[in-house]
Amino acid sequence: MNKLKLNLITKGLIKDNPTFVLVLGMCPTLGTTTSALNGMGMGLATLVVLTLSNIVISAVARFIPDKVRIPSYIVIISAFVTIIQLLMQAYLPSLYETLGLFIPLIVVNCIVLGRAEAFANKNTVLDSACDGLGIGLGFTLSLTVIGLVREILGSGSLFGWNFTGGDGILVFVLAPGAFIVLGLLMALFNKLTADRR
Amino acid sequence: MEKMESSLKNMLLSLGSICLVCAALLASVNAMTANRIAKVQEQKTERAIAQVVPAFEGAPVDTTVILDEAEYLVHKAMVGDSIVGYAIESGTAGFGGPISIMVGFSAAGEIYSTAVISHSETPGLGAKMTEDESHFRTQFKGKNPAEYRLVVGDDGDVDAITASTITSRAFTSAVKQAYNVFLAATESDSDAVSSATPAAGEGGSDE
Repeated sequence: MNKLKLNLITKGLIKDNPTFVLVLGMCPTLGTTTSALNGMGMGLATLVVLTLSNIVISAVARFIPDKVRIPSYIVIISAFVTIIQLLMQAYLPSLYETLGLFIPLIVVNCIVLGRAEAFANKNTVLDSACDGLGIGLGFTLSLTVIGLVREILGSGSLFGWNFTGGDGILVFVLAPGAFIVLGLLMALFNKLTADRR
Repeated sequence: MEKMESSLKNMLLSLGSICLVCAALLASVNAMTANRIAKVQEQKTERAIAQVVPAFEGAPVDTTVILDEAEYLVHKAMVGDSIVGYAIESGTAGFGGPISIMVGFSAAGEIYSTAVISHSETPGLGAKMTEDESHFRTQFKGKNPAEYRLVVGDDGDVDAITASTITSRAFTSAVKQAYNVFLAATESDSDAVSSATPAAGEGGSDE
């Protein structure tokens, strides 16, 4: 039983990795990974929203008629996002300053709606919480890695610490660099996990 | 358990109640945090003021200056009865979105220091303007815009950030805007008239 829950969490890291395998939520992935810290922040904020929305949606799913499930999910998800945004603004202003721009983007992140639709509305509350946690962790990890590579190559620094003392290859900080890094990392990920799947 | 049937009554009921609950939740969280958010904003402004003007006593005196139909907040830093500096909030559109900065002037009209309040410039490029020790920001310090040409490039005295011309231009024009507000503010201020009036003529002429 416990192993099953653990499975739900770990599958988000590799087997169902939202970025490299499911290829969901590309807009925040490409847009926010200009540095490792930004990527990690976006990932963590998504993790919180995803876990909470999975819990609530799995709890109320059976009271929601099929035809209105999408609008219902969106209302629930956006309510959570707004609550988190307000709380962050009030109690964690410095974190909000770096992430504020990306928080509203979580509403349109298809991972959140995707997990509600594919998992939370058919499973128990506990399983859904684990699923949200797992997928959220996978997303956070992927975004941090992409951000890390882009930051090292693009600005010659690591988590804001400039170890080269100069500039990097600018293109990696800009949008084209996001696509290049994402593509190469996806190829690497597939190569490494080829025999696992 | 059976799923709810998609009848009109069921749909209205479920979606309606979800919206109601969410709205109530949002309203209560908003009521809970509104005061604190306002306070955080205020603290942020206060910190920015303290960064850009010489040491002052008490709370800065705020006045509103209207220039070209836009309202600007001018914070006057006082020591005793004399004004030691002006902190002026200004902003323009940058590369990635609006840039909001605080520019501090000494009573004589020199730029004392600048601070970035909020921005959404590209990290590693335009975002370098937030670094306090960078040449881009320090080059403004102690300059009097009456003779220092606040333009990036060949026609001006400001060095741009490499590969971030648009950000540099936006920042510089926001500083210039703040200077125009400073001139308008000091014009009506009898304390500073003597030092600011000659500059006012020149500031207007290089527009």
